[in-house]
Amino acid sequence: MRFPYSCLALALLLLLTAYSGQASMNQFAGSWSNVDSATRGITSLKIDVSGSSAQVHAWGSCHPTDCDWGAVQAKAFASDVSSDIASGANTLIAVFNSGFSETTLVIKPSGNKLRVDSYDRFLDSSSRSNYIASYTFQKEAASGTSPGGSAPGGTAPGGTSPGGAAPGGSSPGGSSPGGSYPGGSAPGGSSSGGASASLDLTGVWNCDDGGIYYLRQLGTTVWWYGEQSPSNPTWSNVMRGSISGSIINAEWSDVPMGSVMSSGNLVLQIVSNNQLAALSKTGGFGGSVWTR
Amino acid sequence: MDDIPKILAALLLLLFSLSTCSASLSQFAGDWSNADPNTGGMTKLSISVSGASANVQAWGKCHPTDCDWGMVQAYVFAPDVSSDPVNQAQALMAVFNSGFSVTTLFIKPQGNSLSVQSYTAFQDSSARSNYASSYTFTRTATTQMSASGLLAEVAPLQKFGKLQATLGNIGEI
Repeated sequence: MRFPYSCLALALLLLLTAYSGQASMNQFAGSWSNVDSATRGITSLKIDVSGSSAQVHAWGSCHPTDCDWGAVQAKAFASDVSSDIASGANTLIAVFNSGFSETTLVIKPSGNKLRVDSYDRFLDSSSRSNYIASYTFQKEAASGTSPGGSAPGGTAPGGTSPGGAAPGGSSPGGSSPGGSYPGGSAPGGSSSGGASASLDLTGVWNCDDGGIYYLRQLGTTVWWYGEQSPSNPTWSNVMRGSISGSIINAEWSDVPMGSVMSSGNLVLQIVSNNQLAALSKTGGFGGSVWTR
Repeated sequence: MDDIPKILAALLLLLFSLSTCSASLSQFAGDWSNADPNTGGMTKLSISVSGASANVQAWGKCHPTDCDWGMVQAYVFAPDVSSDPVNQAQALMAVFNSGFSVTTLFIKPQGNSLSVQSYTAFQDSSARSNYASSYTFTRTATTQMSASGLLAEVAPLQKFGKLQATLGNIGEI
């Protein structure tokens, strides 16, 4: 009867070893793809682990190529204060800041996959609602290549919200007590900020609403005057926006060159130096694509 | 046997009412106690809701009396950017900063309970590890329901009562 007990002890040891192996930082490491290849949210993750620290790189669904959210330092969590993070981590939290929105990813192992809960909250004054999304990721077959190596490239975490629009909105509170976000040094703050040095949007643009738009870019600020027609336009508007990565977060208002009087917010994606696309519009704005 | 379809219809309507109710901010409102009375972590939550905003007050296990973490304004999350958070809130995020640590709570409804995921990150130079905890909270027995909370609970019952009356009339016909 000694043999079965030995087998049992060995099996328990193996189970314990396997369990310990699951609850480690290494379990997060690698390149991961969303199991839903048609997702409009996060498409890929690349997690680099070194000791007890981890860096999370994320890509979101964008057209024609995925948007690169950049890489941020994640916070690792274990089961208690005395746990060894390197061998006992069970959760990573990564925070991406696009300037106008903040996306917090809570990443947990789920068997051989990763379960990711994404909490998007808007930092601008738009009326968009903060939203939550959940994803499952599986490890990519060939882990040698970065998911963003060829395809992704682009914008910030908001460009790919479930609503198709970049996140933006109305987080209650604005300032959390204590004044800081989880982890004080929340990563990602500059993952996609600013404008590319080669970007120059200044010029005359046509839009699919039939109007002509006169743009001026000053650093990360964009202005325009748009009108339906050079003479007696039915509508005319002005816009002021701020560039963050490849996203322009803007306010617009009609002006009384025309007779229509409306106003609202716009989130535009800089598709290229010669094309802009609206991700989100309020106030009944008509145009969606600008080219020159 | 003739009553079975009516009962099924009533149950379906009741379930629908409850599920509709479950995706609202008022569902979070009230006083909550940890389902584990022996917890060494969070013991109580008090959530007040006003419009589309929510305040969360938390208490942690301390001796001889529980420690008051204070009240913070929570972030409210809905299913998508165009959702109405008042009627479709699915989660709250509340961040408590003690100075030496920051605890982030992700609070979600789970039936009549709340599921709370807690993540504490240390900001001091101690060697303590950041840690995660999970809790289930149930409504405190003596909770004084807020007006909105009370209506949220009563509404499905009212619908059920109306359905009963309607079905009764149909039965009479």
